[in-house]
Amino acid sequence: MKGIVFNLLEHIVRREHGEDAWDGLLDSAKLDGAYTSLGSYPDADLFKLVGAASAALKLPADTVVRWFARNALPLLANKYPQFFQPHKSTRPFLLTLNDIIHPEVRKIYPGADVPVFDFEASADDVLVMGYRSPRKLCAFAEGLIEGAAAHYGEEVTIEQPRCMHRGDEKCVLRITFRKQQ
Amino acid sequence: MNGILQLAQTENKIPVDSPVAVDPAVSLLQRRLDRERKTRAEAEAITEKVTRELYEKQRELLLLQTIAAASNEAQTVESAMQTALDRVCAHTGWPVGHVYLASAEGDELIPTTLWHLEKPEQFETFRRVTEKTRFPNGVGLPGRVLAAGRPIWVVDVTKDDNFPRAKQALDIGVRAGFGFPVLVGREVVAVLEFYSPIPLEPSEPLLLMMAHIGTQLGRVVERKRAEESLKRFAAKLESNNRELQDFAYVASHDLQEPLRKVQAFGERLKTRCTTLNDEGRDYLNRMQNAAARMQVLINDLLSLSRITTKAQPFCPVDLKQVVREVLSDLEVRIEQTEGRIEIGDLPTLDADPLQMRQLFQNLIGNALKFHRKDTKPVVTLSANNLGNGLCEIKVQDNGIGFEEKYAEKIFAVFQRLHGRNEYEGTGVGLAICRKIAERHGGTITAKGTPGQGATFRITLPVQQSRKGSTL
Repeated sequence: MKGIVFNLLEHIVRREHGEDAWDGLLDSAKLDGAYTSLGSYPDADLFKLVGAASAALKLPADTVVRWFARNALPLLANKYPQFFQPHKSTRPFLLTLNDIIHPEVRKIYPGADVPVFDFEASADDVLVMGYRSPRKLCAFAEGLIEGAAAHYGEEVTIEQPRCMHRGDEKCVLRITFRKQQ
Repeated sequence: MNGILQLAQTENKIPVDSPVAVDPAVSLLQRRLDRERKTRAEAEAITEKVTRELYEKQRELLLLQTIAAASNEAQTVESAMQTALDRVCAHTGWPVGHVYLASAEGDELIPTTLWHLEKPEQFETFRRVTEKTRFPNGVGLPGRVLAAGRPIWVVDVTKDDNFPRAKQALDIGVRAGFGFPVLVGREVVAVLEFYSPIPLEPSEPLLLMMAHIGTQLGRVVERKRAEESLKRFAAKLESNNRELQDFAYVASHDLQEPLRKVQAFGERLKTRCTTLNDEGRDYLNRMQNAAARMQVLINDLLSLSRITTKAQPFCPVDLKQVVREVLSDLEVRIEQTEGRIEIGDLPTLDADPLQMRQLFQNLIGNALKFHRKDTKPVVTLSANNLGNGLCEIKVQDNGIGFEEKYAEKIFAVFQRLHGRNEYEGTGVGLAICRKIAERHGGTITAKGTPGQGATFRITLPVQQSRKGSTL
């Protein structure tokens, strides 16, 4: 896992819950917390931090991950506006993930292990995305999609007819878009 | 002495062992500071690593570029190999590099005298042994490269059980080594080997780059091979050509003698043999006509082969003067046909004077010969400078012309578009014209419209190289 992900988490936790909250998470996860964006760190570190937050907030881990991703997206949009500006809505933006955004991620963060999504052509207001990753972070994908929708002033409903957490081979995210009233 | 020691101890002790209780807020801040410091150190390490990698990549790129450029410009395979030896040694900092060439059968490597040696005297024994050793397929480091067709690395040649030169290597301090093949397709045509004075673990990126260099060098070998085969082919072609020309000359020359006898005895038969009846005399006449025609054919063939066999060196020739002489030779025919010749401004150029005369004689002669029955021939000669050292001369007539499809055919030997009874000639004239143009490094082409006329364009160099073409 690239350090940037930990940096985003730290930023959000500190902003939303204060400096001490981040210290507290690191203490309960027994991590020293020195993360630099270009460095690579064990995936387990992230899961430990999520576990600590989940325990502290008494929320399911998936909910924490989703909350984190939703809040991370505006930070990414602010840092890398060039990937967001060309689009006016969430759907075309999501369709650039495999071919534009993730290749760029690999350039800046060599060794980044980004997932490959498969997309299913469907109605204009629906997009079906397949996600497969040993990290099983479909909740993270959901949070990012929700964050992106908020960025474009849209509302989305995401269903997961299939999920690796339920023993499926891959996760399927069925996204329905609606313009905000 | 004591005081200093005490001070040092005190300094050491205060922060570590101080029993004073630390404010938790300070301790928290200290932890955050430590975290930030560690993060910064890590970020700097990453930056350094990336910068170093970038530098290495740049050096690799530079090496590949240099070798690619040298391979493109190399006049010989040896010079390209030498550049590769020097550059690879400069890149790796290794002091020894050497080239083997594969034997014709490709089962053995033959040492060359191409080396890169940092300190020649230090590596003298190694060099001597190497230059005396041929490596069969699979033997030693070079033999293994030959067998595998890809780069191979040996961490320490002195501890390798397939390295015949291990003793010399140990004596003079040769340890790690790698070799890579020069490939033409899949064929190993040469092997380059390099040695370091210390044992070293293999570097995959380096070997990959060496494989690229081997391919580059292979292209040089391939190019040189193609050039050589082209040269051999051209030489063979030239020799065949010369043989054919000599044959044509000798054959036509030798045919003249028996023909003269046929003609002479025919003449005697006619004048001295009074017993011949009308039928006999008719046969005799026809035989003599045929012999005369044969004489013309042989003469034409001889003039055709003389263009190369009896060529004169080039010298400045005033074409206006040449055409004036030709017109004087053709005076009778011009009068007979009531023709008119218009001569534009013709240049002076480097040429064979006799051949220029023959060229214009044939072209103007043809223009007069192939005139339309009801139209008086008008022949126009003009020239224009094409730049780039070439001059175009145009001979245009208002004669019978020809169909476009014959524009090339008319330049072939014995090629005639009309029956012998319509227009005299053997069909050699234009073949001679083309051969003259080509011997001068020029060209001749024709364009015609039936019933309207023909235009011949001759392009000739204004200046010839001093040697003079022999074709």
